Amino acid sequence: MTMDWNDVNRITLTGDLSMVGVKEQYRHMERYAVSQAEAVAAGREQNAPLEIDLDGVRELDACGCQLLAVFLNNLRQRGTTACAFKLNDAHRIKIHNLGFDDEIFNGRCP
Amino acid sequence: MNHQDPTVLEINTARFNRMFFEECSEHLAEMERILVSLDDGEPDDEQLDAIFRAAHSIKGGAGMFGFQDMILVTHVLESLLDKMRNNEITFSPSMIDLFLEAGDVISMQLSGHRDGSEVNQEAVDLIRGKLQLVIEGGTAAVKSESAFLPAYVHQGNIVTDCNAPSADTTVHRYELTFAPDPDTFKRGVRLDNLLADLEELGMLTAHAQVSVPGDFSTFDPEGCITSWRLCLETSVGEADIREIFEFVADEDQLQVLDVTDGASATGENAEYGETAQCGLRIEEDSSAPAASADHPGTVTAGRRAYDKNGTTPAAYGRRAGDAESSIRVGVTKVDQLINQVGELVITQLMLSQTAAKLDPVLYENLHRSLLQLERNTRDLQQSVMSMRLVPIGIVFSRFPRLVRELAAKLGKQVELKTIGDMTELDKGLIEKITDPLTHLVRNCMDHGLETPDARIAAGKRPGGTITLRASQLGSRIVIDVIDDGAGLNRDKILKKAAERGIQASDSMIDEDVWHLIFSPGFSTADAITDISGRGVGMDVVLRNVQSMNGRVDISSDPGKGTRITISLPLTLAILDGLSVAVGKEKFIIPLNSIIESLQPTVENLKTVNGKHVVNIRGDYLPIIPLYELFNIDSLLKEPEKGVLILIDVDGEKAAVLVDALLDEHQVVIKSMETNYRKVDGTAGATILGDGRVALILDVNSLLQMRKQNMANS
Repeated sequence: MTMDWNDVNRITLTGDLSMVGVKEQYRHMERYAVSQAEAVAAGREQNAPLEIDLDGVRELDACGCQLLAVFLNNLRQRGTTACAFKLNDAHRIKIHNLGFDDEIFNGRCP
Repeated sequence: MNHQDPTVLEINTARFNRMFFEECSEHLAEMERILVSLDDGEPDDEQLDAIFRAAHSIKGGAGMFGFQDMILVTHVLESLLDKMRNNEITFSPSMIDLFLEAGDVISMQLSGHRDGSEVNQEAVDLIRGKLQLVIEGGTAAVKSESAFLPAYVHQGNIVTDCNAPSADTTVHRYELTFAPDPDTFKRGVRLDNLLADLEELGMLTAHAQVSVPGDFSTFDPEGCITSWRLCLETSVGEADIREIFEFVADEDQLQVLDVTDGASATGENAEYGETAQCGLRIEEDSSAPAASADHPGTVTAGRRAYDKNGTTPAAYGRRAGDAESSIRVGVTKVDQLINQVGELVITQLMLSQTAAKLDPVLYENLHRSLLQLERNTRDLQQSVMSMRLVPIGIVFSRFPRLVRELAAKLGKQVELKTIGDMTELDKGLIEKITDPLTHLVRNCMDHGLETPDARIAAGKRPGGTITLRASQLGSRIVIDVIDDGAGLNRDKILKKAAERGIQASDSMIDEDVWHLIFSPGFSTADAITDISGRGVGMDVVLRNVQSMNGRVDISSDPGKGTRITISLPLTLAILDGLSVAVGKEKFIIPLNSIIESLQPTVENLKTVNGKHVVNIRGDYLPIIPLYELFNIDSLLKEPEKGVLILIDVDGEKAAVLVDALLDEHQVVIKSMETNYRKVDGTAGATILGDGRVALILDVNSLLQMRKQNMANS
């Protein structure tokens, strides 16, 4: 998994977002959350919604959906509007079938 | 907090998958054994329960390990069997073939997961459709395949299952609250598969509620902090729903409420009441599900309550007949143990050889202890070797179905008898003997046994018999394939041999004539069928058996039948051999290929085309000088000064020239390929008591090498 946040308004998640890969994904997310908190504290927060690009996610399961939901919720609790996008159909259906629609897509996203 | 390394998780998953594959194969074999034994008769309650248990266990295991496709087939199979058990559907003979076909499909799916082999999805859909049709009151007759194509309709994000069971036309609406324990993900539970199972039952909507932690840095990504609210509209009962959760949720983690038309009008149900629209209660209380006592009549007493038949794998220890315990150990581990015991035997031999040089009076206690060590080591070796032995009944059990199907295809009446099913053979040999035996049985069916009319005309009863008999003779296992058919036709075999340019003559004795059928490409069949007749079977049989250090013999009585006898060593891991010296090297010759040994006189020796031969009671046998084959610097090159060991490989005889005979040993075979590289003319190596390595000769290969050398020269 890699997480790319060179673009301040976009995070790209790739690789395994299932039970097998959540630990690694979490480490990257945590680093981002810390940097985001520091940015907010320093008054450098972005007003534009944060886009979480899931195009490169290969595996997704309930454990991965849960992590994504927690991450998004955490960002939202800190006042960042975060939106998941570029999901392929299979992942979108999986999120729906697992009942995570509201947890993941809830927010003021386009 | 327990963080698992993903690699470790994958390895563990593979290990558990392997266990499931083995257990699933056993359940399928058991199911097939019972079905075939029915012979179109109706199963009794015990048999039906056993078939149901097998299907149920496969489904449970598939669910646990996430093999969704297998669940789909086993679920509908299990449903049908359950209805038969409850006398809701009556048995018909065609169901046996239907169940066998379902078993084949599950087996195909299993192979797909285990070996990565291709799965014919059309066959999967077809059998599901056929089973469903019987459940719905139709017939088991085969419909056109298109009639059974999957009926899933994806409408946006909503999945509707048109195959949902519909025998009970009352559609219930259930509200489920599922709060899995925090270790659920770590245990490898695939909740997406579980929800897919529920979708199989009807229309499902799911809503996940995550208890978002206040501090992201303290979150355990592998811990489950999500609970689910599910709405299921289905015609199945609550027990069927709970069954899906039986390996996943404890009693207090799952709440099931039947909210159909407000039928369960308890206080809380009334709250759901008419507005219990699936998935619309997002803002409702997300606290833990209420205790079962709050919903009398709607919540069952937990998984044990509907597991009264003890069918779940978890109930294994509770079932009668499971008292004899066993553990499943990987073959690699057993082989490792065998290897280590082999090393122990070698060490014990080394000690014995060293002690032999010590004064037996002065060191009496040491000698006595070493003798005791030798006995204990041998006992230990035998015990460990026996761990690799499995009953040949495992192979025999596949033939009832083969015979049944071939008999139907050929229009013959055949009874299969098996004798000595409990005779044990090395697991490696068991795997290799299956194909040769299958060839032999198919040949018996196709060529050996006559049609009922022909048998009646010959004064026999219309039905023929094939007997598979296994027994142990000393350190060898003998397997007979016997039929009471027409027997081999000597004239026909000789004629076909002549046509195919195979060396044969009218003066050959019967035994040699029968062996002609093992020649490559030989077939006396008048017509090539998909069962046999291409002549590619019997030579493969011979080659396979020979590769196991085995022999094949045939005896046949015209009009009365044929017997083909396969003789195999009990195991491939140890061997009785004779150690011989050539120069400074030592070799082991397998005892089972040695006829005799002798010191030739000059008068008995001749030279033909520059090669030595020896006259043994009128027969001239080629001499194979080992020093020449293995490029050993030996001072002893004249046959009359050495020792000749006469060997016999399937009737082909030769004399191996060695410097001296040393001793008889039971040796532990070590693979040359694994430890070094393949050495021509050898079947492996062993370590002798003095710590030196001795090559074990492959006498068949020696004969081939000699022929090759002659051709080259």
